[in-house]
Amino acid sequence: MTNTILSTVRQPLATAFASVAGNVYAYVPEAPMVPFVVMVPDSPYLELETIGKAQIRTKINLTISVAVAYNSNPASLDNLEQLVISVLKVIPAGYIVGAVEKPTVTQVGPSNVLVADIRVSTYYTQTN
Amino acid sequence: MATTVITGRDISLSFTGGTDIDAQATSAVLTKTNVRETYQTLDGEAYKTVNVEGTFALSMLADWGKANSVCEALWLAAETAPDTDIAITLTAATGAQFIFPIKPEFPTVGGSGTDAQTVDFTFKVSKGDVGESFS
Repeated sequence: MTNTILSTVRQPLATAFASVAGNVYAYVPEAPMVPFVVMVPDSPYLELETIGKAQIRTKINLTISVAVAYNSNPASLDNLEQLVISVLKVIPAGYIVGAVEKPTVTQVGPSNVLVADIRVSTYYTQTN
Repeated sequence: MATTVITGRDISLSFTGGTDIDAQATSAVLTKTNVRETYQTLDGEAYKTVNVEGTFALSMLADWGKANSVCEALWLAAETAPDTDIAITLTAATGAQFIFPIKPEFPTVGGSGTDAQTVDFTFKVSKGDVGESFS
């Protein structure tokens, strides 16, 4: 199996979120269905922190965007908070969890969603 | 002559025991210093180097619990054989290799809630004995 960032970092993270009450995507889909959890690259995306270059080893910064339907503000925020907490509970070992950014209203397709970003980082070693 | 740039990514590092230290190290700096006495003579200052010392500063991501953990290897070495040298081979860039012995030190343990656990060492180079190989 090819050792890619998708197969070793993003997809395992998406798999870990299987138990949360939302649609989980390891990449940005064309039309995500709310509530959803999606992994997107953060900036800077890849950071080369370790010595040596015999193998590519890089720190990967990701944003986990968590979104719920934006129908009523109190209920939407409560739904978002519950989804964020459920995501935080299942982030596996090996991921550095940073801040959760403030929720914002974003238009996805024809509807508005309330979305918050969770910043996570991990390390990837290219082996083949 | 063209300008040469080498970076930390040109470094390779290994030590006795063979654990994968390249995968964890974020910085590796060898410092060799002449200890020089200064004498005030009637002719002015005179100098005499009386000793050579060395230190090796290593910063790394902690790897407790990993198979062939560097932290665990250094902890055990510091505990069981604190005065036995560990041989380090540091290649700054192709054609510039340094081999030197260090005394083992205990790694620190723990970290903050938001960051990766890291460990910083300043090892003493035994007798300042750094062997170099330039090509």
